[in-house]
Amino acid sequence: MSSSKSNKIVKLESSDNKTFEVEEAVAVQSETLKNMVDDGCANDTIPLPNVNGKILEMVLGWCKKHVDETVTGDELNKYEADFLDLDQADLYGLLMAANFLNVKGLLDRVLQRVADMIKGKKPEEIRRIFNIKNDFTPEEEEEIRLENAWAFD
Amino acid sequence: MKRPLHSGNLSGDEITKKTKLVVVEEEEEREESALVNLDDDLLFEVLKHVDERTLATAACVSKRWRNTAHDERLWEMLCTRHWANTGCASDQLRTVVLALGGFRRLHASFLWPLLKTRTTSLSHSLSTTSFPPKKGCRRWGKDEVHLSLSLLSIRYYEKMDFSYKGCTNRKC
Repeated sequence: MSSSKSNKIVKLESSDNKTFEVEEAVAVQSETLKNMVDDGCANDTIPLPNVNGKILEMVLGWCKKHVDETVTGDELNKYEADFLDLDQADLYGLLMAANFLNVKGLLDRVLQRVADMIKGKKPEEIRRIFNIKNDFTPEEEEEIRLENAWAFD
Repeated sequence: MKRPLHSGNLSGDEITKKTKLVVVEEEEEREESALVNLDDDLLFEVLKHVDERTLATAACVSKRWRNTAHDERLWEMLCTRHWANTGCASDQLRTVVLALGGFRRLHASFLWPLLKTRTTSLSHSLSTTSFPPKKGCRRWGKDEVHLSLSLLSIRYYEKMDFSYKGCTNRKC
């Protein structure tokens, strides 16, 4: 039995109206939620209109794992590695959520994962991954490529 | 038209081929809309985690990406990664480098060519061993940093409009 300051439960509601109840210690892994708790705004259900249920469940799972004292360092590492084995859509959802909720460890991991996706890729490939329109004029494109030619060696 | 992503009524057993198709379509739809949500701040955060080549490549993707990838703070991080001891406060260094053309220019003109040469020569000499040569594995000390800054300032000086024509004969 952990003697925490309070056994308070924090209630969260995702964008698709799913409710989650977690212990305060889990919720405050998110800086955003921690601020709300500290400011006394966490007494009612907190609506999270930009995080859907699936992603929120994942984030809370992460937070729970990191609060669990029975989890070993190795187990945690494996958990984190497996956790990020996601398809792109989920990865982006997770990125938005981790950013909004400001769960530092998770955010760093997800950012690194997204960064790894673009490493070693050509601009065309990056555009394809992120569905970005090439808005350079041919002259501008030539210019920027010349400027950064050293990177393409 | 937005369809619900996964209707809560479907259990694992009930997913038939037809439903799988629908799910794939929905995911594609979702993927398309999710992927363009990377705003400038998040893009900046992502680019903090990439290496020099990727950052330069990122600048070639689109105008928005170029503006973010050209942020001096990102290049400052990359440059200072190679520096063990610059012998001056980072604020001072920043002021000087920014005045002389910025970290991105410093990196492209002076750091990258040197780091590249060093790695190439290292990999030749170490080709018989299994030791993996790390890029720029020896971090620069005060002297090398000051040298690169001096070169940067010389380049800056030469570009100033004094009707300075001495450059044609001298090795720049």
